[in-house]
Amino acid sequence: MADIASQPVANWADSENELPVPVITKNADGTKTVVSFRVGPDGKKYKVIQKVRETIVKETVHPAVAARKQWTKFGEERDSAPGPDMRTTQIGEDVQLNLGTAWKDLEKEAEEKKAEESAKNATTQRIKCRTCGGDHFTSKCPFKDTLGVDSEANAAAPSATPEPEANSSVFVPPHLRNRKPGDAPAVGRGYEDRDDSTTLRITQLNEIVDEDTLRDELLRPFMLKRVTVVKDRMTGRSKGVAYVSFMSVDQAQAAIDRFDGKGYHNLIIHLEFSKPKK
Amino acid sequence: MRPLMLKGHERSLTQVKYNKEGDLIFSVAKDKVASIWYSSNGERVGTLGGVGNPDSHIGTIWSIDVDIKTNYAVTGSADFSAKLWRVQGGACLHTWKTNTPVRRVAFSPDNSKLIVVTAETMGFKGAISVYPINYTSTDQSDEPLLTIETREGASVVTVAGWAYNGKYIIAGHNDGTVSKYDAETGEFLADVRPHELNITDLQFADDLTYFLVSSKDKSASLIDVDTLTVRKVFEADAPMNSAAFTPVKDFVILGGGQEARDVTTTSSRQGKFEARFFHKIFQDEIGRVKGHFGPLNYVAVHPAGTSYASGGEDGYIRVHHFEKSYFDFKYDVERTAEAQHQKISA
Amino acid sequence: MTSIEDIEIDVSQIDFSDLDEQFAVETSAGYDHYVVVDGAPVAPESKAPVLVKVLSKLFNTVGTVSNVEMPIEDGKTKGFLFVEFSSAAEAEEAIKKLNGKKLDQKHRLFVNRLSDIEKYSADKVSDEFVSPLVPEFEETDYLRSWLQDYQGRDQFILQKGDIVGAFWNKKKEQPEPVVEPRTQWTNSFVRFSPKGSYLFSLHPQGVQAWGGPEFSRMKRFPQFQARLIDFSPCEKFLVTLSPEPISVPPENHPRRSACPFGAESEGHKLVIWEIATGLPARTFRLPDHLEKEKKMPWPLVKWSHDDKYAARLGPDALAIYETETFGLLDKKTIKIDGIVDFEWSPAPVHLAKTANSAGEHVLAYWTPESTNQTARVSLMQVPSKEVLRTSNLFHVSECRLHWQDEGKFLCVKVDRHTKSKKTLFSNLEFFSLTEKDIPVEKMELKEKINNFAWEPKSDRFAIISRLDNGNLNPAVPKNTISFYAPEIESKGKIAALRKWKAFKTIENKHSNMLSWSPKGRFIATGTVPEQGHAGEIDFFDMDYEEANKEKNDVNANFKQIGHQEFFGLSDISWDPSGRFVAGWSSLWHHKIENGYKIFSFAGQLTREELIEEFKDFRWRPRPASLLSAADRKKVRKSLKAYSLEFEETDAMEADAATREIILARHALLDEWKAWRAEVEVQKAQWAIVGEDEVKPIVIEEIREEILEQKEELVV
Repeated sequence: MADIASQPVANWADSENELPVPVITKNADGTKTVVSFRVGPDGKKYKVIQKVRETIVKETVHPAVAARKQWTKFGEERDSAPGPDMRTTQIGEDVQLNLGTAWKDLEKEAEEKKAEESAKNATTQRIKCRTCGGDHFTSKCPFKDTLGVDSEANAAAPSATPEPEANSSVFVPPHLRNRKPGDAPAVGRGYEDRDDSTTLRITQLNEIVDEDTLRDELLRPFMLKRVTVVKDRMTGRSKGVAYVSFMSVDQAQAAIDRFDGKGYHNLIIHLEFSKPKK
Repeated sequence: MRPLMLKGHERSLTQVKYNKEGDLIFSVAKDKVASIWYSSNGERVGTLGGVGNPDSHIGTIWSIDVDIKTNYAVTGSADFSAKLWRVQGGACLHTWKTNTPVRRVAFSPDNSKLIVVTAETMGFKGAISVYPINYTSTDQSDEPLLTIETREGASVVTVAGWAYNGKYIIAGHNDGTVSKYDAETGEFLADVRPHELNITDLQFADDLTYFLVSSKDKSASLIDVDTLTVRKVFEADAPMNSAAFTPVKDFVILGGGQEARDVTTTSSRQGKFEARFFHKIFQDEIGRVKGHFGPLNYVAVHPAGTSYASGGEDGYIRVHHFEKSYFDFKYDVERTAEAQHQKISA
Repeated sequence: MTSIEDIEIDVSQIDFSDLDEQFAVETSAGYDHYVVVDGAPVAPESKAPVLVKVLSKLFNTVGTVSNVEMPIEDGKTKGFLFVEFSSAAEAEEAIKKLNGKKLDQKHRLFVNRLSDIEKYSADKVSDEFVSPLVPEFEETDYLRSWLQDYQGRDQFILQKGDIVGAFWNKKKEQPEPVVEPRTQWTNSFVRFSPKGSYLFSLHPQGVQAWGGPEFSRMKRFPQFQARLIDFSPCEKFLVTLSPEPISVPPENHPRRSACPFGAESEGHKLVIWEIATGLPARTFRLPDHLEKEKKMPWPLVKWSHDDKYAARLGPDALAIYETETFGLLDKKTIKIDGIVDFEWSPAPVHLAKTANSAGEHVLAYWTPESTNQTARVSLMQVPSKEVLRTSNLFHVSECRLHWQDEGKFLCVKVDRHTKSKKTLFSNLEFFSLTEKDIPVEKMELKEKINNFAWEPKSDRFAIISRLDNGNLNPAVPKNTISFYAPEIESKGKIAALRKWKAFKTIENKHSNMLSWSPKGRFIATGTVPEQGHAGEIDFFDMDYEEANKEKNDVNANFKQIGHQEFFGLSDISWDPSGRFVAGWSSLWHHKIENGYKIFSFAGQLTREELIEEFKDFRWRPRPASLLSAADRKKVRKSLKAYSLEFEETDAMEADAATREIILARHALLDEWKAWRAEVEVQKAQWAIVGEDEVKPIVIEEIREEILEQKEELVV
């Protein structure tokens, strides 16, 4: 190995592999820690710290193999101690062999998983201050006061919620402004434009029946949009009338076929399509 | 799978071999020294030649072989010589001088003979020479028993090996041809041209009745000795330097990659420096193993099929011990066929 | 416009032959009042008046005798006489009741129609014996061809509108028709015989049997308007019932030869047919008490497990017939006061006291409370008619007899009324038939059991019960499904006298159907929608294999494995192999969501088809497996092999491209193996020598193992 220096670096692979010799320290518990260096696929240098345990394994082998295990080292290894030498023998990174005709997909999957895991386990979390670009949280920035004003303005612009498009040209009544798309329709919105074609009016319901019992008992097999039992405003008691919106007209019809004129909680209930208010 | 990374060579590997029991790995590289390793833990037990050893080769060692008893090893070098070594202790027993660089050496199945394949240079035609090996004394004959010169119209032999019973010599040529010679008389028997470009490696199945050749034309073929029928073709996407059978499993491993000089980046992905696993019967590529930073120059598999070693242009030997999933993997049709067989026999 | 009066009819042109036939007057009617009595004592002339007196008295018991003519020759009576009745009906009655009557020790009377003497008199019947013409053997198609399906698939029948089709179950795929679906294959429904050999269809003219690979017609059973059909368990006999009484055409009538019934069948409605010959084996009048019945109890004939005996319930009696002759067992009915119902054991019963390894025929029946007797359940052995065991019951309103399928247990579900007689609750009485003295174990519940089902070949069962508190609103889910198994007393052993214990109870369900897998272990509970709830099916596993299987005190490990909704569900049925469960919604019940769904045994939906006017779904039953225990074990051993094979078949069926690949790979594999086998043979010739075995030894080696690894970027 002494002639390393005399060897011209002829191999393209060698030129980047000039790494420090691994350092080995023995630990109290019989294990040893190996610190080595490697160049990652990204071309950056990594320090690899491995905790290694040497175990003695019993094996059943051919006698000739057993004899060869006892050989004294020779050639360039004649002065080496028994056991693997870290300079010539290292344990590599885990590699995957995913056998299968769809190995490409398997590999991709495994890689993604690995990337996810390593992202989770990353020890050096990069913190970058938005004010000065330093290695700390923005709020802890020493230059917060001096640089803060300017960059805050910059930072605010993109992060603000996009202005509603209504601002541009279409007139939006004041009470509808600032509403997000998913919001529930405002109270008082015209009932006339609601689609009631799938809504049934159920009458002669027993007073004890409320929305939940309707949903869970009578109409359990159906997909329902809305169930409302009409209640007396003062007493809160059911008026025996309910409106139920189904997901489809067919379902509503099926419910009529099944329950109209049938007994439910001791009363004969009536189902019919809800008629629009005149 | 955590591979063992063997860094005993300063330059790119040229050949890697397991001995018969698979406990030792023999490796040769462009750095003039052959290394011997314990395959199980990657410990280097010794070298053949080396600093201060006057018997060392003085050029790239292209090839190495070991006899079935792991007594002798033979190396063939670009220094116009082949050398016979005692494995234990690493003493050089004999040196055969040749006219041209030695490209390939191989013991006959009964270890009584040795093939030395020489390159074509300086007016000398390439040839396959067969030397006797004398186990009873240290004296070895310098006279070949047989010399098969590159025949008229054929291109130079790159690789050669012995078929079953040492009956035939199979040779791979520079133009992608594979020929069969009678091992006794050297008579040319047949040839076939499964590849467009040079044959880079020739490895036999364990019973020496069929073999694999790899080629720079980005493929490898499985050929049977008797009829030289190309039975299987394995298509890769880069020049292939080596191809090996996996005992136990019906796979083959191909190694290769874009030539070093053609690769400008260090990304191992772009150079396709991966060991490729193919199914021997169905010819599908079924997996790859990454790791090398340069092309794989040689792939060898443990005779018991438990591990494989790849020698790379990057100077590393990576030894991979297969995991359970490797042994468990089977095509569904294989499973059903087996199951049916069991059912019938039960 | 021509009115009906305008049409001129030439009466001579009309063929009245059919009417003539129908209203033909029997010419022999004149002698209908007479009967010939043979076998009377031969007495001296002096004793003749006494004899006439005795006989007249006898014949007067069945009708009014208007004249007795006893010929006398050579001072002795001739041993026969002529009796004239006042009506033909009385003469008939006399033949029926007195034919074969023993007058005394030595004399037996034979009573016959006078017209019969004419009919069978010497010049019409040849003295020479002419052996009956044996009809040529007609080969039928192989009746069990469907069992030879190489994939072991099951068949089913789908009935839609007036189309009936037989199909192979192809799991997810479109079912494959066995034969082209046929319109008008039946007039109402079709049924498979219990072992699946025949398919029966109903027509106004009678019943037809179909079978063989093409479902070709096998036999016709011409009973006009047959409505109900049933089978004996071994497929030997078919029972049909028609509301129309059999009318036998008169003698010499052109249609007489086509009518399979004898004159004795006139007016009968219930027919037992022999399926193999297509001929009636026995016909019965419908008992009077059933004539008015709106909903006919069915089956009216119940069979022993081996078709050896058939039994019918009569008022206060049980009639057991030996199917060999269809004569009454010991020539008489068994008198059992008030008998309400009975059931044969579905398998031979191995009683502890008898050493008969073939097992015994046992039937169970129950009688309700009467003035001086409690209600009781009894077990009777047949043919000895020995009552093996009775159990007395109180406050009984209804009993149901549930035999376990191997005949090991009988569970009697007793619905009892509370003292106020307002509400019901159930008891279960278990008879352990194989134990000494047949112990009875009682189990009392607070609820009324609506459904009871034994697990096949097991001692576990499931029930659906509901608390009867007078409030029976079907909209509220108040049914409880419970699963019972015998308690393990100690050391994993079940006591001989089993104590059943509920190991799982599921409350507040609508479920009203229990359906065990024919192979046991799995059960599907169905909800046929009544009011206010939807149809659904739940799937349960009784022996769920789990790593942390709890130590149960019963031999079961319960797990719900599936749940499926099927709004219009009207029935569920397991396929005979226990692999699939079919649920369907039939037009006969309602018009909602008609169609069928097939689920795996674990409750995964494999196929669903909504079909307009869908009526019925029937799995084709299978006969019991012929595999021996050893065969079965072998199959179980190579289960993995089979499953691989089947998975491959499935994959090939599912996708043509995959099929190509699989076939290509098989070809490659076979080719390779063939070549290697060839080489192996040659290797022997090449004398490739194997190496000597070397004894391995044990060594020690240092291995490195990475316990942990950290990587840091070096900046």
